[in-house]
Amino acid sequence: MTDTLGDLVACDDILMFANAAVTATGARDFHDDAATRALSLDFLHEYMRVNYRRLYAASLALDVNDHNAGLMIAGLLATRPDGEAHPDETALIMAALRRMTPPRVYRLFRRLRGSRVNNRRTRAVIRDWLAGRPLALDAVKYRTGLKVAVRHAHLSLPEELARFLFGDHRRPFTDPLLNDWWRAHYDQRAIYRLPFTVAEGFAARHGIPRDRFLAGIEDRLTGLERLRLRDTRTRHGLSNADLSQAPLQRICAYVLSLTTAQRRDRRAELSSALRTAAARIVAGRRLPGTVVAVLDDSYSSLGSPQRRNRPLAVALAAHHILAAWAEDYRGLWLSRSRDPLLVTPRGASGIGGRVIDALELRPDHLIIVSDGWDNSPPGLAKAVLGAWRRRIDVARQTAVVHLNPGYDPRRYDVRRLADGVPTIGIRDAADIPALVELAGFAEGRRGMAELHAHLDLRVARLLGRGHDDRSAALPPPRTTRPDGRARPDLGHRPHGPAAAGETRSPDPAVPSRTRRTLGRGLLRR
Amino acid sequence: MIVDTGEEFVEAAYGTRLSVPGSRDPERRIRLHHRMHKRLDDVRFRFLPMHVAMEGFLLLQFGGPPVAWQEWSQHALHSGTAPRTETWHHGSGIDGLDEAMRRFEIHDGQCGVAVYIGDALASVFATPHPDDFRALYPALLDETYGELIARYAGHGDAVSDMEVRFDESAIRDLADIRRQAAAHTESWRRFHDDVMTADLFADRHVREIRAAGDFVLRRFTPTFTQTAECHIGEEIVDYDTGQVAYLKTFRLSQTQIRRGRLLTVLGDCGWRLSDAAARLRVTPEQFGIQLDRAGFGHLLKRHVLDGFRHRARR
Repeated sequence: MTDTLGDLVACDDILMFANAAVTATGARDFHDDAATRALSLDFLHEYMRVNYRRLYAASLALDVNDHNAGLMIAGLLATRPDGEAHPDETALIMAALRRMTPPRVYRLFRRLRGSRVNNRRTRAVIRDWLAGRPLALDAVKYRTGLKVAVRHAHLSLPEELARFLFGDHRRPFTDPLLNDWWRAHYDQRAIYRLPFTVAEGFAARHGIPRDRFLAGIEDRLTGLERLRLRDTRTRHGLSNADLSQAPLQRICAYVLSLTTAQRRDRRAELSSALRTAAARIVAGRRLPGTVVAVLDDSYSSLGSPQRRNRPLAVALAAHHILAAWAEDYRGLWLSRSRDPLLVTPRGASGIGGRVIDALELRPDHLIIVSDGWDNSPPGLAKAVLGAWRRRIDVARQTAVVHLNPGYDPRRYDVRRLADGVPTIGIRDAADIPALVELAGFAEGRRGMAELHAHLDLRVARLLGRGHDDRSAALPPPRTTRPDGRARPDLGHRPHGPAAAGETRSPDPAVPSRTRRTLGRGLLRR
Repeated sequence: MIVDTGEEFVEAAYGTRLSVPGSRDPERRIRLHHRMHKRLDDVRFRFLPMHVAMEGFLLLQFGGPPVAWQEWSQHALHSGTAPRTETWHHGSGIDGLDEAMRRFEIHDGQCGVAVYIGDALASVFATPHPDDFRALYPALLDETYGELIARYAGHGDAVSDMEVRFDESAIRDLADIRRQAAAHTESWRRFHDDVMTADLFADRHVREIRAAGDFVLRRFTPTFTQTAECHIGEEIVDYDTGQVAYLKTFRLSQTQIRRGRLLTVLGDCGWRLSDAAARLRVTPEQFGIQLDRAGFGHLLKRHVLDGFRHRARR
């Protein structure tokens, strides 16, 4: 290894940042309030952006959560890319934006407006992202967000959309959705053709009884809205779709929101939904050998009122995935509960004692899902794992990995259990198979070259240059040029001088764009 | 304990009482008007704010001169040390206590807690049943704490944990690890009981207030023979086994200890100034000045105190 000290520091910083960007959110957590976390995250992002701008931009290709992606994009757009910048920085920003949910993106645009970031590149990014959106839907559903974005990027909209957002509503619209919104003020039937969140307001305005409204709007519900409204619908005597269609971690959060009595009553339904959803993630793969998991259901897995039960939901989802994935699996809860369906966040975190129990089963894989606050007694897990590594399992037959769903703002990283045990930030339990396979290789020290190679691979995948199921899942660019040719994917655009005729673009990262109408003819510059 | 009956007044027992069903002694109850730290807006039990208990407590202990020695002022003869006011810090004003309490993970079956602030024992609280403990645990934040504890809380960073360390050379298999883990837990328990809480019961004067069935309610005060760490409190214990059913303690600040010591000495000497001074091996003048500095200047006649001051200056 020819890494210099600087490389090693950079390597550590990147891994630390990757953990932080996967786990940290803007919401309050069990151990810290939102302000502490925001302060810590802001510093961490600035530190990374100033020191490793290239790698920082490349880590947009990792599975960072939307909150951090938003912070990264805001930071990158607010500062001028220098010589160290990633050649595909803007393309990475665009690709990351396409992965984010629209409300998050509109929130980001509002943030850019609030911090008065309005350079050419920012305007181009906003314009290009909006070109890929169904604007009529966004105008109805995210009206303020779209308004702010359009104003901020100095875009001019076609007459009808402009009139919808900024003008008078006295005349009907020709676009069916805009027209339905217009009609919904007077006509109750039109409400049911609108998105749920918009329709809800109209329903209240017309005084439509909740049960009639919920029955009528069913076809317009998104998957998550359907999940969120389950109990409300049951209360109003309506049937619900099969629970198992929802993502596993969402089902877990839903299960944890029920009382123990309700969980007992619906045991068959809930367990089968959990099993089906887990099997979908595992997709027939098999992890050979025995797997033992130590799962944290101490009081701190309550999370916070803003993210209620989230750490526990990750542990519960991990339990079900491992049960489906491993050939031989045992899950050990800290509370010694034997019934995973009935877990509640309660009691102290005696991780060390449970790790001893787990090691006694001589597993091939030991997986610890915990926030890393080992307090009963403090530091026992560290001592046990250290002694195990150094004195008993010297040949490293047991692969130990600690998956941590919580960010520790004081360390700018996830909290570690013990030296020599890789701790990886986890956001969604569905990533567990990938993380566990990765952990064996992460236990040894990674070199800078290896890290660069990994990031380059992820960047290539995100930009659609590699073979990866994730890039296939991305919506293809929906915009076409007026001349009918597909708009070139920004990711493929060679890095170099701007297209001929573009004399006003000194910044090579700004994608060239003609001043003609773009994207379904909706946006003009 | 405070019982909010939903009526206009909140009634408090004068300290914790213990009674057998059917018997009542209503004259020992006090009505609280202005002394409540916080309005109780729901009908529920709450422990008495410590300062109400405390001031009454000190009053009971130190009633004033039994003999009208000539040095004492009319006020001291009529009203004893009253009105006595002490300054306490409300739990919500102690830096970080609310956060620490929120984050603390209550163990299964836990009945009590020893609260340390900056590694100093602030209070010990125990209840008869884990459910009682869970219900009353938040009331710890409503308690009062001494000035010393409040200062400690403001100092510096978190105290580091006592982390587990193994003797790895003695470890050959998992059973060794388990043994060492158990040994650590046991040695920590011993260290805590013998060292950390050593001063809690070391030097105290216990008064039995009342017995009911197998249980007895006791209050204890320090004897003030040592000045290191003094706790006052009350407890309900099983008469035969000595097992604690309820315990609540409060750590006095250094100023309070000094005052308590002076009053105890005075009480022991029948409030005779010269005897008390001899007991403390100081001159009567010095003792008078000490009383004045401890905030008891008003107990001495004005000309006596002035005389002490005048002679001390020479």
